[in-house]
Amino acid sequence: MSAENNSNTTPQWICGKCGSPLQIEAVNLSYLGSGYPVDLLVCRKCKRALVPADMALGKMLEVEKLLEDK
Amino acid sequence: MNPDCAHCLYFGSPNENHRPFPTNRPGGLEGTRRALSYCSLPARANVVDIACGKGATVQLLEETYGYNAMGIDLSGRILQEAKNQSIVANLVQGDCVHLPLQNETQDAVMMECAFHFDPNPMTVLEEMRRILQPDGYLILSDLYVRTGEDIHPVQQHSTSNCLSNIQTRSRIVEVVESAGFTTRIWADQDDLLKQWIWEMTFSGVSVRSFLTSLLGEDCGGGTNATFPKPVSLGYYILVAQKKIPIKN
Repeated sequence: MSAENNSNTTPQWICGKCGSPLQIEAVNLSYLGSGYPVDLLVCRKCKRALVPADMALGKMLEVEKLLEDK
Repeated sequence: MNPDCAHCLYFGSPNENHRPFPTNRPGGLEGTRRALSYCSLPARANVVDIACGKGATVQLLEETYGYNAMGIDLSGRILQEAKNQSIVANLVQGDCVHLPLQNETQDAVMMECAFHFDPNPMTVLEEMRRILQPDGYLILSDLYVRTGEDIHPVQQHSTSNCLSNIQTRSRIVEVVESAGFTTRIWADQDDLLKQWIWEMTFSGVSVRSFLTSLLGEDCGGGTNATFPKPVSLGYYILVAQKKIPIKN
């Protein structure tokens, strides 16, 4: 994935595999048999989603640890 | 309610956004539907929901199941919120150890994710038993301690908060049976608890810091603290029936 930055607009994420622009879609995140729908940037062609680092290292990591503790 | 207890403070927060339970409890109304599926209640059954909050369960009981439902909650503020939001449900302020109901008038009494609030569960159960008809249903859903059967690890780590009242399965069943009920169903609701963890976390509430704060200073406190290893929580639905006294 890469971000194209026009000076006055929000960066537009582009799929690194096919070059299509990413669009926000509900993605069902799942782990250890349970899941939750989260809005993420998705390549509709390749069906790949971009998980922001702060989400991966924040909420997703916390859920992982809590589910593993159970 | 303990004014020094993080659990109570979260639940009692005047700001809805600061409450830890977006759906008030693991499973929300799905948990209620599951619990009712374990019972055989008559049409227009009298059902009372204790610690009803703003009456979501009472509305479900009335509108979906056609029961004659009533909700009782200790908090006048929450009941006022329900009134302000024009929630149509029969909600009454009352204490679970002095229920404003006649003896043997209810077909079922429910308590969802609130049983562990009270440090004297036997007193609560005896009051529930008083208002239930013979064979009436007791329906509980709540957190429980999964680790070990005969230890109370949460109590070992804290003595001053509501979570310290959470018990093991064997202890909960024991106290229910001692209060004059026969346990019919114990159903582990692991999936509802897992879903609740997702919902809580992604709605901006740190489950870990919330629960850790309840465990007191012994576990280190703060958002990065870890649970004491022996503590593992589960969520259950228990359905029991009032024992009919044997006449001599």
